[in-house]
Amino acid sequence: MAFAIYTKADAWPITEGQPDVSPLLGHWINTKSDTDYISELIVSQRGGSVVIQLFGAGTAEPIDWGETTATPYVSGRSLEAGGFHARYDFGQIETLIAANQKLGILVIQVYSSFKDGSGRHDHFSREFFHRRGGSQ
Amino acid sequence: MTEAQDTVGLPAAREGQVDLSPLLGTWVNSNDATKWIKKLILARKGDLFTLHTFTVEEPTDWGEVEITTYRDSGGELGFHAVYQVGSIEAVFAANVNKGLIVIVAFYQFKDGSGRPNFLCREFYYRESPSV
Repeated sequence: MAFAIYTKADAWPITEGQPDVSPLLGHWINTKSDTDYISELIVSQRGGSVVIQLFGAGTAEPIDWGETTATPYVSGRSLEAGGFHARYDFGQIETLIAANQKLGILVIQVYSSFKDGSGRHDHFSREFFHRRGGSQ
Repeated sequence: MTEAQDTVGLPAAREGQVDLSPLLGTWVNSNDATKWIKKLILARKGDLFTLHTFTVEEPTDWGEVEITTYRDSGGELGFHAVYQVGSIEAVFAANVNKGLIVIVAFYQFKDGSGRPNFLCREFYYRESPSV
């Protein structure tokens, strides 16, 4: 069977085994304590899925976004998960999350779109997170 | 009270130096598998700013050195430091990005071992007393 190839990476040989998502797991804290975006998140593995729970920066307390399933991706030719993406749809606001990990830092890009007719501009952020209390 | 607030009442930073007070404190390497700097402490001694470096391998305590401080066009802080520890000469170039200190460390080995010059770039987050 021929598979579609749109990049050279698409042609890499298939590696047996499941992606190792452990580099993504944990309770992550924004390095920027006065962020206007995401203050912290929890990434866990449940069954065969990766589940994330985000907390938005609030004026008083963090705002719990609840849980959603994330899709992990390997990086390069190894089975180590290099990142994930996920989506939250709150009805009036839809947010896409794109994350990658490097050297113990989780880099998270957040793309929020407003669908409520408020005229607010869609916004983007890219911030850094370290594991709460250090390593796993 | 934060360590930065502790500097209130101290002499102004040395002429030309940028005030690094917002960064004073302990910073921890995000990479727990690092072979190099695992922790650093930024402090103020009178009108000087200092760096105390702790590494993974012996000697783990590199001691305290005076640093030169900078601010970039976007207002972010940075510093550089030079260490001579045994046969290792190290230059650290650091900048701040959204609450992280990013350090590029340049190492030269003057022990005749022939080890090539080496650099690494790692990330440090502020140690939180609450976790």
